[in-house]
Amino acid sequence: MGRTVGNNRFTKCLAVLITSLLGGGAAQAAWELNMPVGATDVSAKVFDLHMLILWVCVAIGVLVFAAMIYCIVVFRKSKGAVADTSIAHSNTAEFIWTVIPVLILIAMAVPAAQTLVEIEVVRDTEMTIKITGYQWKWEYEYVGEDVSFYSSLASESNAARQLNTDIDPFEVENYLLDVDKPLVVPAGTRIRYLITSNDVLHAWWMPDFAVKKDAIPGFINEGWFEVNEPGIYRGQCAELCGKDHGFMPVVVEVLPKEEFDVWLAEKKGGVARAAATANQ
Amino acid sequence: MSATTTHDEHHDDHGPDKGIMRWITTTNHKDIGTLYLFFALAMLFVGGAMSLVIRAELFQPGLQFVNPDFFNQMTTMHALIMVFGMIMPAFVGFANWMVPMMIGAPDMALPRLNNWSFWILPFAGTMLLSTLFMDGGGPASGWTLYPPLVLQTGDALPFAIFAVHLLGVSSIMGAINIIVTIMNMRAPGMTLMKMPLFVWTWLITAYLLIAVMPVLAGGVTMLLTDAFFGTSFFQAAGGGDPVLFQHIFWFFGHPEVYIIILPAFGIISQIIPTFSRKPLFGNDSMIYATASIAFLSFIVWAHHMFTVGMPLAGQLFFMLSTMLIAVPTGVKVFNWTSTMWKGSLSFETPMLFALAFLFLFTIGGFSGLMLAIVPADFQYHDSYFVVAHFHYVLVPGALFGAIAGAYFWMPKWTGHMYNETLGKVHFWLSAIFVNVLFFPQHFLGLAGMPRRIPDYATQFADFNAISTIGAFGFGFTQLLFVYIVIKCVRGGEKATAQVWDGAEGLEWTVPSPAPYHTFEDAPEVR
Amino acid sequence: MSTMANETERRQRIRRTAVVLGLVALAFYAGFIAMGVLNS
Repeated sequence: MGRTVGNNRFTKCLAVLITSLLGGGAAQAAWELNMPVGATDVSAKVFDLHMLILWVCVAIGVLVFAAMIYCIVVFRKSKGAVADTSIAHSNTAEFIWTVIPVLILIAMAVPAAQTLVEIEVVRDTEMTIKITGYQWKWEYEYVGEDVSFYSSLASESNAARQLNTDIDPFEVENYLLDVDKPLVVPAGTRIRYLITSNDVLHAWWMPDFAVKKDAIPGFINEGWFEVNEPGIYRGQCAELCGKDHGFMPVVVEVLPKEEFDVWLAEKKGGVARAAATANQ
Repeated sequence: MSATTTHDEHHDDHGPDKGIMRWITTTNHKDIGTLYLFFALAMLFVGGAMSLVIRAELFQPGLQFVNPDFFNQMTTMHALIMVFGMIMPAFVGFANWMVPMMIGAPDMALPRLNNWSFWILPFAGTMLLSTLFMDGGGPASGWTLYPPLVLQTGDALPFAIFAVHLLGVSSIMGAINIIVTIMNMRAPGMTLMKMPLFVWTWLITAYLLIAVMPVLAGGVTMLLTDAFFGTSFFQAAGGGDPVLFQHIFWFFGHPEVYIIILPAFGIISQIIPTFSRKPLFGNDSMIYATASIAFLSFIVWAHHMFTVGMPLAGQLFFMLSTMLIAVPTGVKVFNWTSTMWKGSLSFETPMLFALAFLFLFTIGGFSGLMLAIVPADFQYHDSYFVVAHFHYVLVPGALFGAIAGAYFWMPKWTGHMYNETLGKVHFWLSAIFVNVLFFPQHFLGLAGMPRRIPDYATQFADFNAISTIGAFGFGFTQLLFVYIVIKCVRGGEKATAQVWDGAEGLEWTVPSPAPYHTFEDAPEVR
Repeated sequence: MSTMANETERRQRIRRTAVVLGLVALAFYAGFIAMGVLNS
């Protein structure tokens, strides 16, 4: 059965590859080609920055590759091209292709630096969450609220990821990207996070927030994010942390502010009710 | 190498000893070059087999073949073997063979040291590989050996560290030899600025090696004392700093990537003019660009660590210095292109690999520039985008440079032309598969797949499957290269002294195959 | 005659350069460890 699934997938692969090469856009849902725009203002800015550099690189690439291809096509010995050995150097040319790249780089560095400053300056935050990495799970602590819990790989994924299991990963919803208890945060709130580790290095990566920060034992890093849209967002540990590095996903459930307040109150209210809420 | 060992005491100054002892006791730069090159070729398949284990496991989601710990050992060893066992020895092999011949020297300046530098390698390599069979398995912390994770390695840790030390000693001795040779053994009239670009790039590379290999050795020594002698350089519990190791590692690691690529730049700078039948455009600015790249490589290391939580000023500095490297690199690409301008191009296998280098290395350069942009790097960092980036500069970059050089000089080494048809088949299969292998990894990284994971979410399945197909295609294509090399060593069309009609330089003035001793009387260079 | 003298001189120069480069390498090794010691 797995075999047929594989074959179907392969035909689909080819079909989608062809359509995506020809038409682009339509296939993107099935074939993630690009960075997500994400759910925060910062992630949108990072996406724009990424696209800006990408297009600059594409433009330069088109020019340079066109010149190379022109040489390859036109100056062929087999077509009778004779080498003009007098062309050996040109200070003008060297000057031009040193200065122009410098100017392009400056033009790229300015927006990059602006976005970086915005990301790095942590201010006006409304609540603080402490993230601690463990081999191989995350701990989330709501600072000042006396609420904290561990977040590990969901049991369905955990069963399906074992060696020699019969479970087809395609049958598991959000395979490897699901946890037992996600981090729950309110939407439209500027959240400061502190991050550290209890054992080895980890990195908390949430592509939709454009957040990736290393968890370092003995040191505390900080940063912030503010999510606009409620929803469930998924990421993973990004720094090799041992055998189960691939199995400690990051899941954040963003609730509207009022619902979050209820959730937090229930969480504080008691273990039994909290467990019920966390499982939704 | 003949199978019989003779114990013939007769020593002929103009020919090698017979049998296995020739290779063990040799101080001849050509023999040692050959040893390096065959060692590198063997390691290419050892490291390649490991990458195929990785790609096989990643063909489909779910774990099919190996457990996650062994997977991590494979990613670690694949990188260590490929970097220290394959690509660096390959380029030292080229340097051994070609540098004396290019500068009109009879041999390397320190022939016995040369023998040592090589013969350390097989033992260091074997020790490194043997760690896979030790209790607790081989190192599984990635080739970056980041503590605290690396300190969780089992019995293998001291052996792996000692192997890294030995490999470093070998490289440093090789580098000293190359610098000393270039500075002291040039034929009369061979001024520094007249030296071929390959010699120049190796001179600069050798200086980089001497500066940074000891830094790596220092870093792993501190790991060793942390693990066994109670120090806490990198252990927070004892007042140490895990990030310090990253600074040390990348202070070595970034120049290291230029140690890998600069000799390839040199080879490409020999090949493109030959097959364009035109001198290298902007020879002097190529030298200055190489030197600038080498200098800048010392002040960009922390761009590998943008997510560790550096101060804003530090991030800005390393972003700008990293972007600056694009300038001299661009100068090189523009000069190579201008060399082809109004040339008379022909497309033998070395030229084809050089052209693939030009296109694909440039793609790797673009993704490198993207990675320099810190806010965007927060998304790219430790994702498959990075994997795609450095494989583009290492495989169609450095490795294609080495393969191009092998085809370019093989007639000079063996006295026979290789089979051109097979060479072209090798080229086209390699060039296609390498893109099938690595291009989809850009998409995987952008879509959010972290690197160094043995299993992945189902939305990454399709591109991973394609990548694995490319990997197996690329891997098996390289067997063809071995066949071509063996065939060429054994026989084939006789090569002339000049071999290529556009070839210029001292190495093309000696007969093919190059006699065991060349330039015993220094040539006059005008 | 002079070529012989040149040859000896060249050998000395080769040895000297090699030793100096080796010492530079050692200095980098020891220097970085010293930096680690001072840091911790």
